[in-house]
Amino acid sequence: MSDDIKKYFNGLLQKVSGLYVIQITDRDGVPLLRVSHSQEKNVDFALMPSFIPTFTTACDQASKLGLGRNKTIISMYSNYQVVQMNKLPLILTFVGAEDCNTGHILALEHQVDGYLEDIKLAVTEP
Amino acid sequence: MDYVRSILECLASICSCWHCTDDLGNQGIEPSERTHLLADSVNQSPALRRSNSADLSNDCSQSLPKKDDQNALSRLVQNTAINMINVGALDSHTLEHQEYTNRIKTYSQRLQQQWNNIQHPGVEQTGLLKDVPNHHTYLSKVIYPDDTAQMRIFIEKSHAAVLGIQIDHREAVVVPFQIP
Repeated sequence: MSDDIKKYFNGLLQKVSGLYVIQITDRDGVPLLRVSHSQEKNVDFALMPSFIPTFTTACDQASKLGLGRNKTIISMYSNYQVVQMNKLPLILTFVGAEDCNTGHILALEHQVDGYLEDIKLAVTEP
Repeated sequence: MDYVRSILECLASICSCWHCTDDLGNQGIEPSERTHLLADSVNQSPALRRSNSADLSNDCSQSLPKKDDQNALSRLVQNTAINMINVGALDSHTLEHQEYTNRIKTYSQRLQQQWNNIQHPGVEQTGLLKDVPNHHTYLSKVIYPDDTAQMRIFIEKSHAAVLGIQIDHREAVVVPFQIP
């Protein structure tokens, strides 16, 4: 069954041109599922254990500034873009090329939600 | 002294109200950054470390009803720590390597147990009639020869029309640019 799920996420990866990695972690950056493009560039910086908890903390701290609780942070770099979605207790991370269509990445959220509800059970107490 | 005590009591009542609302929020469906994850063996989340000591003091103080003031003060400190914007805390949210590997193992084991129960939402039906719910009823109907003949005529006409497409070549296909 895990092969089917990886195949499904690989299919999502192929749907968006320029998308390199889809990763599901817990809020501390511990990976649960990761699919990557075969011609993936070096995007390890966005998948390091220190990068994802920073997103969690940044969401928490930024909510106190008066903007409210956000769901997604999009970080654009010179060569990459990182889209992180707050699905607590999970964090959904997409890494793509700088010219990848961000709207297409955001549209994948609804196609992943069905799985996240089940994967959340592995992270939290029943 | 009575004045100070009255202020403390007032603060205690306010803080207990805050605490109640926080608890209600945590009991709901929406998890937060401080919601507990797995059992204590792997639950060493950096987001929880700061509040663990406060929780312990709360537990102890709850067992001793005489220390209401101390209880109220600890709640006040905890709520203040939660509501305070602390950018410096960004650096302290890293896991130990051992804990990181332990959690990966735990998650993989739990996921393996759950994969069999997960219904694959991406399974697509194969076949030409995948969008027809009861295809047996349609397939079992009688096909009349007139309908078949009419379909053949349509197909032959379509095929003839496709073969009849011609390109009327009037101008040069490659147009040179007028670059000086």
